Amino acid sequence: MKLQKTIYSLLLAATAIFASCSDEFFDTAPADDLTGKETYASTANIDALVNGTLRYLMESSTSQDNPGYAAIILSQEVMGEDAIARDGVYGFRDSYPFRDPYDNTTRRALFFWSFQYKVIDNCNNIIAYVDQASGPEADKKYLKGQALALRAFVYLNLVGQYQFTYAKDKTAKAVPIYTEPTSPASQPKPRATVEEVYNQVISDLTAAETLLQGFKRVVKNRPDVNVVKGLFARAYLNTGKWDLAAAKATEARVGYAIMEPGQYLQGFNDVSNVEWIWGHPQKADQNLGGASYFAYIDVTPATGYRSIMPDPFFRKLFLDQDIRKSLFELVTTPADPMYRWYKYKKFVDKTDRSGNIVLMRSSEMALIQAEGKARLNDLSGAITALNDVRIKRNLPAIVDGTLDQPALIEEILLERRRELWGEGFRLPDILRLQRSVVRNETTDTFKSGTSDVVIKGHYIRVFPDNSQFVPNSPYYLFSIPINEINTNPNL
Amino acid sequence: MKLKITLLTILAILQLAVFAQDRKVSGVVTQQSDNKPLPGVVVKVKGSKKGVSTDTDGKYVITLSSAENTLVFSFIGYQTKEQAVTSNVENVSLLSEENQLSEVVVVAYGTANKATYTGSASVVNAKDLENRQVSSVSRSLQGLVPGLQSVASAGQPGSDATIRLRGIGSINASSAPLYVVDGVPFSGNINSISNNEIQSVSVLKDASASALYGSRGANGVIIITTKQGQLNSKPTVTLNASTGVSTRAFKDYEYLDNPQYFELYWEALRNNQVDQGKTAVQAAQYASTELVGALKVNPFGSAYPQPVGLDGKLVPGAVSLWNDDWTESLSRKGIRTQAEIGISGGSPDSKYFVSGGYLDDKGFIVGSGFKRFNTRVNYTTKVNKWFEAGVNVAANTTSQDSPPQSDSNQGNFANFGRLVSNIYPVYERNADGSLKLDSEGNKIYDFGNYRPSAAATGNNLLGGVDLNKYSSKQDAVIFRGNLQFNILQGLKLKNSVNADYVSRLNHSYTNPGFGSGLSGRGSVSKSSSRSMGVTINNLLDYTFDLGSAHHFNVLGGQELYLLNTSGLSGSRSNFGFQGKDEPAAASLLNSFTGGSDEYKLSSFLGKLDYNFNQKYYFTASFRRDGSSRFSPESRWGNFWSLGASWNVTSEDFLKDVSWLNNLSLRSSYGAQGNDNLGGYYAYQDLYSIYNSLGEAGLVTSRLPTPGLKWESNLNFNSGIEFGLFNNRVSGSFEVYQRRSKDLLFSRPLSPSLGFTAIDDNIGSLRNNGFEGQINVVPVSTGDFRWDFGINFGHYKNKITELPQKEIISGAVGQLGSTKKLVVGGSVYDFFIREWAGVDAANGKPLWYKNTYETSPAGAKTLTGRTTTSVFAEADQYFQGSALPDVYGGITSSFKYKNAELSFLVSYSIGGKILDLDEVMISHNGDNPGRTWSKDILNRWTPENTNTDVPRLNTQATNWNSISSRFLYDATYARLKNLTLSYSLPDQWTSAIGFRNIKISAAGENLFTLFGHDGLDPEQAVDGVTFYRYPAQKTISFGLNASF
Repeated sequence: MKLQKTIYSLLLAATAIFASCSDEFFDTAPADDLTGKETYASTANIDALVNGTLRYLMESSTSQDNPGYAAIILSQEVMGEDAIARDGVYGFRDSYPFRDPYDNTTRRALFFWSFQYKVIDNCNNIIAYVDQASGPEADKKYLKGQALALRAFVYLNLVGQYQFTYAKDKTAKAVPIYTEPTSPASQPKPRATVEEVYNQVISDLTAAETLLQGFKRVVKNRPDVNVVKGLFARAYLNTGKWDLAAAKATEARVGYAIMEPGQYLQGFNDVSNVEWIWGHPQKADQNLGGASYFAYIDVTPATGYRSIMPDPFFRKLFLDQDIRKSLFELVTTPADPMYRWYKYKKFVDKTDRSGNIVLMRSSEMALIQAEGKARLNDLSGAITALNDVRIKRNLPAIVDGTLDQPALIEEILLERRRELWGEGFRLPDILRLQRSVVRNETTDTFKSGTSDVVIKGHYIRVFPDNSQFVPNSPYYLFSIPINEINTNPNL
Repeated sequence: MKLKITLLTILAILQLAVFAQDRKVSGVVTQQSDNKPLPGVVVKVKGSKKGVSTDTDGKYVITLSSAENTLVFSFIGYQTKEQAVTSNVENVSLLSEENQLSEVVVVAYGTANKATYTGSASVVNAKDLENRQVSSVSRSLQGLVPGLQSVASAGQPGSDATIRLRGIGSINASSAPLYVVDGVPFSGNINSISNNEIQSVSVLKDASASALYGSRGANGVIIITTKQGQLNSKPTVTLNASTGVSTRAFKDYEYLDNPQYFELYWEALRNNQVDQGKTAVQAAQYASTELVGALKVNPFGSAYPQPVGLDGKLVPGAVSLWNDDWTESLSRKGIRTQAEIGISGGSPDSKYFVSGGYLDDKGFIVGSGFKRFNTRVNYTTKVNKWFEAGVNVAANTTSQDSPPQSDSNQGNFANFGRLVSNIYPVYERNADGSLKLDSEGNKIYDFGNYRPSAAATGNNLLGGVDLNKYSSKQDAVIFRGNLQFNILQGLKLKNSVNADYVSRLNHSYTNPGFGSGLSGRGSVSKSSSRSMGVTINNLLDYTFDLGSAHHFNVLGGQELYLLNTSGLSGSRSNFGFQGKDEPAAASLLNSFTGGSDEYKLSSFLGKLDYNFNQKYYFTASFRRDGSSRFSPESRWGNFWSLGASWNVTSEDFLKDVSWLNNLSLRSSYGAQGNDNLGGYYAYQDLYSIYNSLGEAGLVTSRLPTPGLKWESNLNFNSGIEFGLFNNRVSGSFEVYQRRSKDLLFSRPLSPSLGFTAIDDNIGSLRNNGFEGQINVVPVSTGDFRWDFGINFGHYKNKITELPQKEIISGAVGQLGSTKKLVVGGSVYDFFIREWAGVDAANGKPLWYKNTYETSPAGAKTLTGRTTTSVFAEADQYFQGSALPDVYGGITSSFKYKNAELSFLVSYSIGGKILDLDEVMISHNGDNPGRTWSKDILNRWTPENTNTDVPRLNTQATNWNSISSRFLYDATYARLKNLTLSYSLPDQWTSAIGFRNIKISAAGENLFTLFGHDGLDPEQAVDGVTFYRYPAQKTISFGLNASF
């Protein structure tokens, strides 16, 4: 009896051992993730992190309303005067009347803040760990340079979105600066001043410019040395360093001719365009489809949101021979949902909805060059740069001596509006120039049979509290989301 | 494994030789009602002190001398039986006294007698389930089990109910109980098991009952046991068939009619123009001119191009040419049909149950439905004295058509009628309002490409439903195989191998020709997944007595759980053809992806049951679990429980008290765990693979948490069970405390850190509560019997520790957060803006906000509060909890001769519900074309200043954002089931060869008592509605026969 029991007990124990409890038994690994250790093992993996971070910047989204960085571009258009969020359609109908992202409880306010800081944390990780990875030294340099450039790009955007311009008050509190990777022990940071953020941007760009010497990118969404110079130009333009702005803009343009007039009509959808310095390609299998940048701004398809419309007054900024004016088309068919609106057909998606998104063009650089020189009173230099653009748009060259300095500056600023519509520059310019949004109701009509039909234009011409538009209004700023305020006592 | 079995076999044979010399009598003691084996029955030899008790399988072996020839079987709650010994095998069945306390309940790794069980367990029997016209057993438990809170949050056929046992045990990890099917944790979908296959459902609520499930038992355990045949019985065939009709369970909200809609939108347009600086006359002119253009439709016909005049009134003579109803058009009478057959029986050594069933449940929302085919074979055999084997195999296939129904998106069938106002026609119309017909004379669906975004541009779900597809198919096999070696008297080795296999195939298709698929020329996505959960366990079970008073049962062993899931999915778009819905027909590949996960759990467990003379019962259990979810440092956890019960009626001093049939007291304490925090890799720092443009891509996704471990639950339970007056009055009452510590927490981080949250074990919470039930038989005469039962549960959920002062939680889509967690509060305390009414002066919505005084030193002190019309400026305040004060059910049945009428009412008293469905239809004119609630008629105007609906305007005022404006008392009662049945008299049935024939009529959700019209009160445990498929009412007729 006793012996039997002992044998049974032993058997049971043996069975238990079959089911191992060693650590290998428990080894499991996720199929769609890498661990930190794996990620930072090689420069190839870190290159994937740069690639993924760029996609995150451009394509992370919330539901239908925020298509990545393009959501910021479109908000900054409809919060100006040249673009209107068409009534009755989704898209940016709450940004147009300055309700979001001004309202810190909205999803848009949260998204704009969170996704930009996530990009920053990814960059911080790359910068911190790339040196320890295995791989060619040159690759490490280029990867770090790209991360620094990308981080500078995001901080440069943030400082302009969350606080008034440098010239107004450079000591004003803007946004927190993080330069170290977030760990479980990390504490949220206080807001740094406008000047501190610009210092960070300049220091990142300076480091990136050196590191990226010799970097030949394969895809145009990677920041290379021209992109870095372009970002320098933007940063110096914002901070009033006109000579540096003009100089960096000139360097950034090298190798990127301004496109011919005919090409302006080709839909702004491909990074192969000669003057795109920086742009994000798309593929049929990864674009945001019916809620993408193009779904909102391309007004040519038969269906879809098609929500970003030009103001009829914007059309009047163009001379008739301007190639860009040919892109306007008035919709006079009553059955068309865009009836009575002008369409502006600058952006046309590709048939598989993989339209590429532009981030930096040589025309913008030429105009920064022109503005920098004009502000330094180098009028002929300014006119040369401005004419580089005008001639390629079928406009006559401005003759040196026909415009005084203020008039020339105004002409350059108008050229920015005409040339860069839809690319996210209008609200930043209004903030930079400390001007007010100007929206007027159109009285233009067209004939339909015997009656005059009013063309559609601005339908919101006051702030949400019914006050008049003014310069430096907090309604022009993005708001720090309530989630940050609730969780960051150091803010 | 093979070697082991061989060895055991040899040993067992040896052992038989040892015992064969004695005159032994053995057998199985079962419960007469359902032939379930009875453990713990005292078997005594008449005229002697010799006695043994039955083991967990109801088996006994006793040695008799030649003079002894009668056995006495006695057991609490059963009539004592004397049995003359005529052979070596004496199987005995005991008749239960009329008292549910005497039930045998299936508990963790065995069975127990309910009256003396040390843990807290409730039982729902086959009879309670058979009349229910619901397609998932999870929906049948509501109102039947004290302390079980069930919310059937969607009317979609085949969908499961959310179940919470004894409050909310967790914040970020799951609070759902563990399902166990035929003794083993279940990895499939509970809706794949038909109610007709189920013998009983045990709900284990305290530590003593569920600690043996270790790291998975913290939220309680629901054990489903399927039907078995009976030994020594001839084959019996049971037939069940029912058919019925489903409709909406209660009335929808009331909406504006077309003239009202136009007049009010005119007002919104005019008001906006005034705000933009126009005079009243200019603004009215603008509104009249632009009205049709803004709404993009004119139901009053081209004769009235400006249907609303400058006075804001419909012009005389204008009549709406159509009055289509979108909600109506998407509803129908759903047909529910169910048919099942079961065959059971048994020989002296084997028993079997075979069943097959078919269910077709079409919901009342067009396009929704659930179909199931299920078969099952349960077979148990005793090969010889020392070896027994059993196998349960069930195979089923289900197919669910579930159009989108739980989000704010345009494709949500349940919400579509609240998006698209009835000013838009369902079918295309001519200018004169008559229907357009196609060449074959059929009506043409109006997809409304012209409609504003707020009214679902280009979408007509009714038109799309036959063209589109939302199907999900599932094939599942449930396998339970076990071997038992009877080694010595009372000592058994049980080995079991169990598998839950599920294969799913989802297919959704949007057609290219009409509706939302137009812009991408249609799209299709197809995904397939396979999940296999395997449980292997080896348990040694030993029942023995020391002397005649000390009874022991020891269980010990080891268990392994392996879960492997794998899936792939792909989508394509750009169809060249109509009517082809497979990916092969679409020309553009949008995505193709796949993945897999693995989860492993290794456990050692043991349990000791002891009772002294059937008076004092003790149980101790222990389990050690190791999980692949956690890091090697925190992988292993220990879980345990201690329990005791006292069967007071067995005491001598109560022997003569005839009115007291039963009285027992019990108490337990122990620890269980909860590892269900979502992901399977809960400690590593992870980077998501996020490929881009054909190249590898990565992005940060998770911060490392090497110290993360289980959440623990410490449970105390104490209860009393009683039966009085010949068990005409019986019941139970229990008090409990559930303390959860090391809560798995997604601790919110500042978004500027690049992560929104980090997983952490911080914080603790507590659920203190009580629950009970009382069953009364007020009348019981020969022909008439009336049963009445009521059960109730109450708990207070309280957070006792948090990682930080407060945590904002409960975010609802883009609408923002709804809850705040603070120490002293509950998990579901509403923390939202407080509505302060409408400003009588200007019609703006008002909310409260705090006012502060700032001292010269900069310190802010709260001085009081004021109102603001800017939503973002308003402060959030606590507005009560979503959790009910008391919830439970009332059951009753009236039996007269062969007829029976029974009902079940479930109720929930207290708590709040946030009606976001109402929010959808309560805009102020900022959503042109969106359905408008009738409440909007009461909007603020200079003449109507005392109202809670603000002034209309085409710009958002946020008044329909989340605030206490839309918070309502959640108290409700619902008649879940009413059944009238009639069994044909025996002489009729036997004449045609039937044993029994019963016809019945049953109704589900026939009647609802709730204070807020339009809303389904059964929504979600957290009290937030989100455009769900409302409950459905089903009326059906059934036939139940056996021969």
